[in-house]
This record gives sequence, C-alpha cells and structure tokens, in this order.
Amino acid sequence: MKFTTEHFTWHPANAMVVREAIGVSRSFVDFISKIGDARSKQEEDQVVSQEVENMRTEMNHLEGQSAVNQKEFLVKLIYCEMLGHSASFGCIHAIKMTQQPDLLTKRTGYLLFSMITRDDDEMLLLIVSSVLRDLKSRDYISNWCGLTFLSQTVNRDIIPAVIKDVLALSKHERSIIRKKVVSVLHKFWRCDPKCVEDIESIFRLSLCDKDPSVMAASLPVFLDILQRDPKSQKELAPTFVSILKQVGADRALPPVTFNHHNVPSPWVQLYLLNILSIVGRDDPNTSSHMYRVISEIIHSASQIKNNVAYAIIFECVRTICIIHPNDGLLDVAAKAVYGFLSSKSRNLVYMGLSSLHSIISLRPEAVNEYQDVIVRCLEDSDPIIKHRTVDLLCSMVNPVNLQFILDTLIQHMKEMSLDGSMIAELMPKVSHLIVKASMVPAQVIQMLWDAIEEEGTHPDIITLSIWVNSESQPNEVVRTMDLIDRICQLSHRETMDESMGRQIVNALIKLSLHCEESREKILQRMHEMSASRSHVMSQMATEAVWVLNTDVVVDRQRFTNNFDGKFEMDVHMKFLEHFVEKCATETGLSYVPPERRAALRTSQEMSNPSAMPIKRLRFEEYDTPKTMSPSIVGRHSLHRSQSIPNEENQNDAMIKPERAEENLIQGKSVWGPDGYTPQSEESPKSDVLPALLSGIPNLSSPAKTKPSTSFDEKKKNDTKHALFGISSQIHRYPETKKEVHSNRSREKKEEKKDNDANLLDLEPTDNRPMEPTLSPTDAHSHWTKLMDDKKRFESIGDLVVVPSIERVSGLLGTSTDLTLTVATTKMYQNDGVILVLFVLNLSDKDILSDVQLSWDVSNHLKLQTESAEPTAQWRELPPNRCVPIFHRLSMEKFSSHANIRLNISYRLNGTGQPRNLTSNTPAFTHDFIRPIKMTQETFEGLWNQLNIEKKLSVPDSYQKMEDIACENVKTSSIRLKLSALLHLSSVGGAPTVENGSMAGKTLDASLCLCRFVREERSLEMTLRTRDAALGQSFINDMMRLIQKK
Amino acid sequence: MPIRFFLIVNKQGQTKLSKYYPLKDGSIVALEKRIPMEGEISRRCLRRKDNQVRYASLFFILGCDPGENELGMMEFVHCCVETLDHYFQSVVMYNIEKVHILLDEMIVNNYIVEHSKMKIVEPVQAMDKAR
Repeated sequence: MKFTTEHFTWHPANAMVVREAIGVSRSFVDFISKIGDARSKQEEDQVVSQEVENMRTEMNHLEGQSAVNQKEFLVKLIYCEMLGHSASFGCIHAIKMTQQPDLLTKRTGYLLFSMITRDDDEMLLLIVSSVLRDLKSRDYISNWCGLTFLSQTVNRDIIPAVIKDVLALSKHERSIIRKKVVSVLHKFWRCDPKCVEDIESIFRLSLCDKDPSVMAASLPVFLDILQRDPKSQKELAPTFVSILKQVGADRALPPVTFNHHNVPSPWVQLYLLNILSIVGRDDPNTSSHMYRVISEIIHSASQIKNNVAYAIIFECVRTICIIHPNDGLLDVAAKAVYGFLSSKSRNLVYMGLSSLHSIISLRPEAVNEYQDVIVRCLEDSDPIIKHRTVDLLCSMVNPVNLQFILDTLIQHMKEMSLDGSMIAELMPKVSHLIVKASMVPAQVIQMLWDAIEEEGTHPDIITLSIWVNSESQPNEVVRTMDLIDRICQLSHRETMDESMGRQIVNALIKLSLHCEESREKILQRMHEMSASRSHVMSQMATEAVWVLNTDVVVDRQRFTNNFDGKFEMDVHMKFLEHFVEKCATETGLSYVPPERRAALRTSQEMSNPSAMPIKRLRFEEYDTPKTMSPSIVGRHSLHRSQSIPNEENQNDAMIKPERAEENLIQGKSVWGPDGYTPQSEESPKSDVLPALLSGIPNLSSPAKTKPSTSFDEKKKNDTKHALFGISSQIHRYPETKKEVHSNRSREKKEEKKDNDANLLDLEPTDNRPMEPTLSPTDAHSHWTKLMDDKKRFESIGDLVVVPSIERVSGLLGTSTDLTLTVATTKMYQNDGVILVLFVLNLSDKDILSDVQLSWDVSNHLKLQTESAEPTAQWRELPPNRCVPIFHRLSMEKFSSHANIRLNISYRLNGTGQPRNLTSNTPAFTHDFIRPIKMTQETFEGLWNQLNIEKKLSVPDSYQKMEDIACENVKTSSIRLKLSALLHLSSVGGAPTVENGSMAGKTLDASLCLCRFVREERSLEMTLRTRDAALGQSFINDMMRLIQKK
Repeated sequence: MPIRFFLIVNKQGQTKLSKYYPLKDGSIVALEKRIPMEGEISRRCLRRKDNQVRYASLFFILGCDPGENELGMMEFVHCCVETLDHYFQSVVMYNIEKVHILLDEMIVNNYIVEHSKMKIVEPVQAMDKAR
C-alpha cells in the first residue's frame, strides 16, 4: 500500500521539492508543517488560533492576489474549520471563489461554504446566483460543482429558485450529472417532500436508469422514503427484487469497475437487501417473491471468502429474519450464523452474535445448537464480544436460567465499571429482568450486596443494589440494620447523584418500617440531607422527614414483599378514616366529590345569572361537617373507576347526580354515566335513593373492586378483547389491516340498521355517529375490566389518579400495525375532559422499546399530562402489555375541526429501524359542553341576555328518521337524540317534535342555549351564546354530526 | 444505514480530516462539540488493537448508527482508502480539499452512492486536466 502516513505529514527535507512539484506557496507549506509538528492538541490550537488572526487581516488584501494564494486561503480555512476553529468569517471569500473560472478553486469555494454554513443560514441566498450560473453552464464540471453543492446545503427558500435548472439537467447525457440530480432531489425531498410535483416518479425513473451508478444513487432515496412510510413502496418490490438479481449475477453492471474484492457492487446489494427487509416485513405475499433472490445472493456470496462477502451474508441473514419467515431460508441463515460463530476472526464472531439475536427471536430452539459458542464467547477476553453475548443472554431468559443470566449480567456490569455507556445500555435490561422475576435469587442479592462495598463500583450499580436489597426485605433485623448503616454511609459519598439519592431516600423510608431500632438514625440522616445543596435532594429528604414523622403511613402489613407478586389492596382505605375524620373536624370542611363541585358552582352562577362569569367568594355558611367516607381521591383511587355502574345498575346511577338537588336552585347536573338522563325525573326511586346514596359516594361493592391477583393467558386475551371488542378478529387474521377492519365494523353496523332501523335509532346513547365502534357503556365496561387487572399495567396504580367519570366515549382514533395498537377514549367529567390513550403490545414475544410519543394538537387545543411522565415510565413495553396514559384535554379557544394527532415511534426488541404509528382523534365542541337543567322561565330570561346567535337548518332526511323513532317510543324524541348527541339537556315539559329548547354550558361556565322550531321542510335550530367562536364552532360541529347521519 | 461522520486521525489521536453528515433530525454536530467528541472516539478506537482500519499510522474511523452492518461499513472504509491511494501520487496534506471532494463523491446525504474508483475520480481528473 503506497498510501502511508508520509502523505499526511511534513518532512522538511522534501519541502522544496514538494513546493516546486505542486506549486504551493511558502506560507502555506509553513502552516501545514506547523500543524503536522504539533505534539498536542493545545499546541495545534495555538498554531491555528494564530493563523486565524493572520487570516482575518489578510482577508482585506486578498483582492488582486494570485489565484494560487486565493485558493490556498480557502484550504487554510478548511483546515481551521476541521480543527475546531470557526472559519465562518471566510464565507464571503468562499462565495467569491465559486465565481472563479478555475474549476478546482470553484469547487473548493463551494466545499468551504458547505462546511461553514448550516441549511438555515441566510448567507445561502448570496450563493444562489453562482449556483444558477453553474447549473446553466455548458461545461459539465461546472454543472457538477453546482449540483454537488445543492446536494449538501439547501433550504426551502432557495429550492424554488433552482429547481427548474436542476430538473433540466435530469436528462443530461453524462451519468455523473444525472446521478447528482438524484442526490440533489433527495436533499430537496428531505427539506420538503412536496417541493417538486410527483417527485417520487422522478426517483422511480432514475431507479431504472441505464447507468448503474444512477440507479445506485437512487437507492438511498427509497431507503429514506421507506423509513418514513414503510408501506409506501409495495408496488416497487418486484423492481427491487429484479435489480438485486441482476446486481448479484453481475449482469447489470460492467464488471471490474463496480467490483470490490470480487464482489459485484457490494453496497448496492446491502442497500437493496435493506429495502427488501422493510418492504417485505409483515407481508407474506411480497416476502414470498424475495426468497429466491435472497438464497441466490447468499449462495454466491458464500463462494467468496472475504469480509465484503461476509457483510452481504450478514445482511441476508438479517433480511431473512425481518421479512415473513421462510423455513428453508431460516435453515440457510442458521447455518451461516454457525459459520460466523465458529470463525477465528473476532469480527465474524461479533457479526455472528449480532445475527443470532434476530434468529433466536424466530427460532428459540436454535439456541441449543449454539450453547457451546455462547459459553465460549461469555469468557472471551474481548469486552465488546462479551458485551454482545451478555446482551444476547437477555433475550433468552427463562425461569430456569434466570439466576445464571442475572448473575452474569451483574458480574459483567461490575467488570465494565469504567465504561458508563455500556452500563447505561444494560441497566434497563437488568431492571426489567428483576421486575420480571417473581423472586430475585438470593445469590444475586448477595452479589449486589457485596458490590456496594467494593471500591470503584459504578454509581448505577450501587443504585441498583440499593433498590434490590431494600425491596427484597431482609428477614433478620441485624441485616436490616446493617443495610441501613451501609446506605447511610453511601449517602455521605461525594459521587452520589440524584437518581442514587432518590433511591437512598426511598430505601430508607421503606426500611424504617421494618426496623424500629434504626428509625432515629434514619431520621437524623434525613435531617442532615435536607440541608443538601441540591434542591432536589433537599426536597426529597424534607419530605422523607415528614413521612417518617407521620403516623398515618405506618401500616407495616401493607409494605410486604413486593417481589412475591401479592399486593393486597385495601380499596376502602379504612386505615385513613381516622386521619380524614380528624382533618374534617379540624377544618370544618367536608369532602365534596368532583362531580358535586361542578354542580355547586353552577348553582351559584345560576342564582345570579348577570354575574355569571365572575367567580365570587361564597358568603353562605358551610354545611355541617359530615362523617367522612373513604372516598378521597388519592393513592388507590384507581378503583373508583370501577364504581361507575355498568348497565345492570344503570338506574341507580342515573339518580346519583340528583343527590345534590337540595343544594341547587335551578341548575343541576343531569348527566349520568350513560349520558343525559331524562327519565330520572319520573323515576319513582328518585326520592328515596338520594338519601340512601348520600352517605355512600360512588364506591361500588367490594367484590367488584377487588383487584385480581393472578395473571394468566386467558386474561391476556381478555385484555385484547377488552380493548378491541369485536376487532379482536385482527388476531385471527394477521393480514387484515385496521382500515379494513373498521370498514367492516361499519358495514356491520349498517346492516343492522337496515334490518331494524328503529331499534338502532332508539338507543340514545349509541347515537354518536363519529364513534361507531363501541357504545359508551361497552367502552366503559371494557375499560373497567382493563383497569381491574392491575398487574397488566406497567405504571402501577399509585401513579394513575383516575378521576370520577360521568360519561365515556367509545374507542376513538384506534390504529394498529399488528404489533402495536393504540386507541383513545374520551372520559367526560363534569368539570373536564380526560383523554385516555391505551397503548397495547399485541405481540406475544416482542418487547417494544424506545417508545416515544409525540402529540400534535390543533391550535387552541391543549393536552396536559395526568399521569406521571409517561415516557419515563415505559420506554419498554413487554409483550401483551397495555398501558393507559391520561391527559387532560382543554380548549383555549373554540374552533371546529380540532384534531389530536398522535405519532408513536418504537422499535422491536431494541433493534432495527424505528417504526411509526399515527392515530387521529377528533375533538368536538360538545366535548367541552355539559348539560344543565333549568326551567322554561329561566331559559327565556337567559335567552334574551345572550347576544351571539347562530342558525342551522337540519335537512328533511334527518327528520324522517326521527319521526319514526318518535312514533315508536314516546321518550325518544329528536330532542333527546340531539341532546345526547350534543351534551345538552332539554328544557320544559314533555318532549314534542314541533319545538323545544335545550341548555348547556361550557366547562368554564359559558352558557349555550339552543332552540329549535319545526318548519315545513326542515328543522330550524338557533343557538345563542356569549362567545362568537363557541357559537360558530358548535354549529359547525352540529353540521358535521348531522351530515354523518 | 446512514453514515454520521468520517474521521482520519493519527496515532496520537490528532484529527487529520473530519467530515460530518446530518444527524437523524437533520442537524449537524456543532463545531464546539466536535473536538471533545473526536478525542473520545479516537481514544476508544486506538485502544483496540485488532479490528482497526489502519494504514501505516493513520486510522480511518467511520461513524454510523447502532445496529448497522458494521462489517459492510468497515469494508467501505477500506474502499475509501483504496480510492485515495488510487488517486493520490503526491502529498495529500496540500490537497486536503481533494480528499473532501472525493469523499463527497462517495457519501451523499448520509449514504454511500458510489464505490467505483473510476467513477469517483472522474470529475477530479477532469478538473486536473482543465488546469
């Protein structure tokens, strides 16, 4: 190899020779040699800083200097930039140089400009004229200079200026220009996929270009496109297959030129295989056309014994594991992996371990063949290989080998103590395994115990150790005391960071319950720590002191071993009663459940309508304090959700809101869990039940609320069923896509309608046309069922505070890619809307990792998280797990067509490209409107005070349907339907079809009154509000609903 | 299989050439972050005795995302070295811009677009001829 360090270093002996040979100036040679001679980074920095100073002054005199000097100036700037000194002061010089006739100088000017500017730099506008001139030039090298620049640096603003000339070059006779055009358009596409009309068809054309290097340049574009939308290029699959076939057979390309170590176009093959793996993923049909070509490629690569060929084999194995599996190919892949693993080359063993990872996920039994190799690699001296192997072990855990694997992992982490990044990589896996294990093996606990004492243990490992040791609840008091001593000592260390501190505080609080003897000591330590310089630490310690001093929490039975999987829940929280009573007596305040709070507020407003929007102090006497019932929203309020009755006890539920009646003057909440409850007035029970219910806030029977303690297969399926109801057919037909499914369910619904239109129309609560999949009651009971099995949730209930719910919408925005399913549901409270997102991992074996959510909500909408930081809680989602995420939804200003778009990205088992899934949930104005009850007189009074009026004419076709409904059942009138639909309540006496009025208010208590009159051919609706935006958006949403009808 | 950076360092770990390509979010590593990063990378790479793409006392380092086909990437580095060797007869240090130009032919928008030595050097040779 001629290419040696001599090329890059300076030798004084040949300075003259060099200068004469390549025509460089003395100052330039000096500069280069000084950099070359620098012994350290500091010395080099000095040289460069000095040079930068010189160049800044020299810049002003550059005009008129020789072309050589001007170019050397550019090269020196390139050096400065590469060595970490900003060369942006040379920007103008670079632009000047791009206008030089000498092509190398021109190209170097562009090069420097690309290096020192970012895509959003305004300087970019200054260079456009040079680029345009070069693009228009007849000299192809000038074209090439301009195009190369555009492929590196461009922004949205300059695309329109150059696009015409770029496209003109796309049919250039020279392939190098056509190739560059593809790269430039690729860059444009990244800036803005819609910058050129039908840009993808241009890429498709270049994919079939007669010159192979143009084809090769268009592959990255497709890789990028597929990354954004893996399903977009299905129809191109045969093209990719045939190109790969030709490349592999060495037919497409003139040999020699494109061969690298006897392998034809190796990187083209790699990219094509990568594309195939994305296109063929989860698609048996497309995959089936790839099997042949992949086996051909793997066969011809096996003939050659060099690294390039091995790289191709590795890629083939990876592709085989990603596309729809084929047994024959899997055999071939397994054999190839075996070859890698038994090789003497470390590189190949490394590659083998990487590919074994994917093989095992498809063929768990394959592990047996590799046992020896894996054991050998575990003892390998090379830390990288060992690390790979340990990583591999995590994916083959079973109850038998758990202890061994945990042992090995922790041992490995201890050895890796110097390398923080590797530990950080393994830490989540270890914690996951420990959580998964029903019992942490004593040996592992001991090992971690020892780790605390050892010098130089990585802080992360110490944190892990504290966690495991404190949770596994040592039996003997002596040991507990020892542990406390040790943890206290740790807390003195300087290296303690926040996460360790948090763990220490938690552990000490917990241990104090087991060890009365050390309580004083812990308290003492906490006092000391509360003076910590870190605010976070000080806060945590102060809280800990408070907790330790409070007798409420001390109920030792409650803090039994967390690892044994039994976690008794006391849903009534009787142990808090004493505390609550005490507080209630002291303050003279009784607890008002959230649903009653809104009603109280409304009553105050209604009593003084003119001052409605103004929040006033309350001067009336407080109610006599009542005995507190255990309904505090808090730790275990998770189970309050279950108290919302299902259909069986629906009647009781309907009356519940009436409880507050005595306190209300005119307005009151008339909303049951199933929506508006018009019958409640006539209900004979309504007089008796409020009294009965008043002492029992909505806690249902204990039998229902008791969380189940076991977690078995059946329940897993239940989860799926509960979440998707009828859509569980997805699991039976994996090829069925979600869109198909929802169509299907819609069809079903329509059939039903045809058969028995009346019946359907008589279900007032099921009348929400935008949410056809599930009735609120169903959704709710499903949801309740879901919540029932606490075990299923990653974020154990403590963190999830479930608010009291008045009504639940059906499942909205469901979206699935057959691995991950998301669905949202809206829970309506009297004073808010909660958006619940369910994220479910459908897979039986794959872990979804790096799960990231990004929300995109329309203007004026606001999402606030209700659960504790969701991303932190479940960056990983184990198989068959469902996680609910709560957000409070609010609208700052009313506008129609509001939408909540969620993009969720994740990776399978921590490998491969991230996948994306999107779901859309519409937000309606009526989501934020609640019915209120009032008399006809109040209505009339208020009607005249509202100044904004909007009108809507409901077409006849809608009416006819209503008429049929009315004839059949008295209560089911258009008003009832509309009110249920729009969250308004009817005002006045018996319902008629002729005219009527409805009333509601927004969450921030702005009134919304509606009146309708039957005209000859239509129903005229009039809406009155104070807020023009509210009125307009409400009318628009009504339109949307009615048109859907 | 995107490429994130390309480095040439000497055995003291001093950077001789660096090229950065956009990250996943489209941004580029900031200038002030580069030097410490290069130091850390070359220290780690030089610590390993095998598995190096090393010619005489220069080390070629290519950065890509985790989970890449590392062997393929390593071979690509070999390809780069062979191409530079194919083109340069004289001292590279005075022609650092040409190294950049050649690499710009091979890696565009984070991906390998060309590996044929003839095609890579074609425009550079055309420029040389025109001088």
